[in-house]
Amino acid sequence: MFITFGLCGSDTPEMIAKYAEHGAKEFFAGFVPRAWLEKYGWEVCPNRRPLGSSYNYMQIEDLTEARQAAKKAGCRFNLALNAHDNGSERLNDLRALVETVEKLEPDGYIVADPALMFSLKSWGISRALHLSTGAGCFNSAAVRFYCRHFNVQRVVIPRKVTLREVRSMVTSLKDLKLEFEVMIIGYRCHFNDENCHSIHSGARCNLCGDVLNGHLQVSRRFPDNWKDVVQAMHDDPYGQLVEGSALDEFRKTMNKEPLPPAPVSDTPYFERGLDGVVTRAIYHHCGLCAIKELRDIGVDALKVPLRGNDSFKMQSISTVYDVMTAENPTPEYCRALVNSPSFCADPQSCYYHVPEAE
Amino acid sequence: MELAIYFTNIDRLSQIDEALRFINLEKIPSFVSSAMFSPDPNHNDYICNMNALTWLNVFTERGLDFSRLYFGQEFCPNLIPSASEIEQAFYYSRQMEWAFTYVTGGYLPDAELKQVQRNLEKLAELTDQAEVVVNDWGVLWLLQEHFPQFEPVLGRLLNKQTRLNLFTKPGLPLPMHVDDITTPVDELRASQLNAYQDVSLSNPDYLATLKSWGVKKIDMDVTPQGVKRPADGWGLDLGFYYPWGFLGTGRNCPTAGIADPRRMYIVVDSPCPKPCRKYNCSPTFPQFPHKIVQRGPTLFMFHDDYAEAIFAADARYERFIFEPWIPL
Repeated sequence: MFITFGLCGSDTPEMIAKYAEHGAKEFFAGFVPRAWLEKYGWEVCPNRRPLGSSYNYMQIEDLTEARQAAKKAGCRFNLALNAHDNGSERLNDLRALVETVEKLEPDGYIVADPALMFSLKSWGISRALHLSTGAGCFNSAAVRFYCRHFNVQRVVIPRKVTLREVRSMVTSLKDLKLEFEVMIIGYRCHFNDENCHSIHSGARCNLCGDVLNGHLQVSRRFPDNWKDVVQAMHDDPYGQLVEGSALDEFRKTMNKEPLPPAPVSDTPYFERGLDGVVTRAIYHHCGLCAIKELRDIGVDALKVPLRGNDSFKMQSISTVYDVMTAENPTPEYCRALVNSPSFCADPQSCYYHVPEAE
Repeated sequence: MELAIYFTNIDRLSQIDEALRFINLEKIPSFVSSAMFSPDPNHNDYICNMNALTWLNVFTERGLDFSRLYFGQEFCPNLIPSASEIEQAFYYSRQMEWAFTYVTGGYLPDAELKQVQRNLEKLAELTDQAEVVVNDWGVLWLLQEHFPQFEPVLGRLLNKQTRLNLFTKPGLPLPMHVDDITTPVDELRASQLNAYQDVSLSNPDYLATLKSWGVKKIDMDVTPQGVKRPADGWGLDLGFYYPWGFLGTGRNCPTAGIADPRRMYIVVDSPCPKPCRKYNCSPTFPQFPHKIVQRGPTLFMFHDDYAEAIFAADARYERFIFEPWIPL
């Protein structure tokens, strides 16, 4: 098992060497050349992260240095090209981008869009492909489907799966000699990546943020005869304003039992350890407790996707490395490392459901 | 033009007459109707059912009627219909002399894919003349390996067009990240819109392969920016879902979170108690110009003014897929 680590455009060769010292064995990065930025501005990124140097390399010279630094540290280096939808008119821009990057001899491309995978093939690119989380491989048959057509080296298992589902996929695909990768720390995404079709341009709070920060309204579903009530309102609107009317009965049915509370997460207070919200600023979401089982299952790579998050990268990578290399990283072991009972008690903190951690 | 009607389960299908029953809400004084329809986003399903029925009328006035049943579950693997429901729905369509389309979903771990396989086996016992909407490449694999008699329709979950982009419209203030871009803003926004209208389907290598897999039809969501379809229509029949398109979905579910808060965020390895059969749970979105509502794990948007073009007599698409309810 090894760590694959996301680089920001601001990550220098020195920092890359440090990440490798702390346990990263592989890096991935995005590249948005100036010409692309001039054409598409703040939208339409080739790799699912907002445009801008806090997420992507913007100069080929910087990307070249990053690639060389990775090589010097003995690490693999992959380029993310995992936009979901790439119309034909964008293909020339993508081809120019890929041809530029090809000179750096990356180890592989992380791709989500099967259309782009076919284009890479027709452009003569034979490097290994990593099926991005955006490729949406939730079952073994989907992986076999991709492998039938492309040079797939690795499957990035989508977010929001159970460990049992991971085991099922990894076990049933042993014959294909693939690598499997899972997300382990960083932003878990509210919607699954492969089916999130709104904005992620960095221009403002994203739609998923609006969902998480918005007020959640719980309501009872209307009874099957609700149109009879509407009909009564239509036929005799003022007659509905008396006791026993269709509308009155409808309202009473709806109000008979109290509504359950909305699932609002509450970060509990603990005297000891770091506060849960402060801890979230470091890890965002955390799957440390799942590493032991993921290792047993045969998952190869742990993705630490902290592109765009300049601070605390070292702490995150060190913590993941510690758990990954520990002989028996029980949930208690992981919790001691995180040192925040408040964070660990909050259901929104976890990446995976780990029954042993309950 | 073909008119299809879409139901996700037998219970809903059995209430088809109610689903299509139109009552003019405008005739009801608002101080009375507001006692039933509050500003709660969860009520949008009901209000929009009535609004959508008025638009459906555009087709019925042209003499069109339903000739196809869409049946199945796209968004939640916990709500996949049983083989028995598939059989009942199929017989219903035959009774109505409608064609049948089995709609499969986008979140199918190995166990749930097996349920889909059982449903396909049941369908194969009943007919070899069905379409199957494919929203997961694993289902296409299944069809290719075991059910070549069924016609695959590329579903809307495999069409990854951006549904809600808010910063491409001319005249809007600039967002914060312009990063010293020198391109005139109008030119930039034109490129952005163009990119969001142009979809992967227009990639010639991909399109040719899809056709070689036997794909002759594709289903899409209507989007505010529209879709750039070439003069030959890609050589595929195009279907639009109406009135609900989805913006995002996942396997975590706020409604399931009512029963177990963890389910709001992650997938829990135990059966879902399905509180969605009784309750809805949606965030409120007062800041968006469209009606957006969460149902189960999926965020839906009601197609309002921007969908008007699909009702024009000369609109270029081949199938209108009517969703009387939010399909969950």
